[in-house]
Amino acid sequence: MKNKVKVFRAMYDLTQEDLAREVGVTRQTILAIEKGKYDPSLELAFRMAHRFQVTIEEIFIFEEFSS
Amino acid sequence: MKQYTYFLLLGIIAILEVGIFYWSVENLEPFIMTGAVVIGVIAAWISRQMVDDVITDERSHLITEKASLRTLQVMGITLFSYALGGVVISLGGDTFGPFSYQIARFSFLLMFIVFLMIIVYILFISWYERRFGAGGEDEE
Repeated sequence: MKNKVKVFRAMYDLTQEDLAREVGVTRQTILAIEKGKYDPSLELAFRMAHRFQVTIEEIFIFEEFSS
Repeated sequence: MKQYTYFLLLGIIAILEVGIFYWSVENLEPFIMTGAVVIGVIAAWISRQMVDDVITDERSHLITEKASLRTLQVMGITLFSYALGGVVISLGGDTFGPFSYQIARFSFLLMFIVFLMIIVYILFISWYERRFGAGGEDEE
């Protein structure tokens, strides 16, 4: 799933490691999410949205609507 | 505890296990080895609980789950095929040599284990279905 995790990370000046620690996952998971190779669970998506103070839809783009 | 400390502890436990294995073989003490393995696993598990770093998360659980399922499928078929081959050998009487009877017993045991694996798998499926809410009355 396409997403703007990297963009928001840059906005908040967070490394992958920082974000991973804050949302309770490994750095590899953040990397996989940014590459679009792994879709986070609902809980993780909410945690990330809460961290960036945005909605889930602002971070993650559902493929059907991304084109 | 940091993750590298945990891996260091695992290494120490492994070395101790090898040493105890060597000692138990030299002194023909099988129960010492059995006890050592159990204690080693418990020690590793306790150490794992003390790790502060995030080692596993939802993605690693998913990976483990998929890998385990595929391993179960592949090994189940492999074991079953091997067991069937052993049964064929056993039906050949002494054609395949003087150990045909032992091969037959081993093959039937292997086949039994494969069937047991399927039953255990079904039991776990049922348990997880209940746990994740698929059972019970439908309110609608």
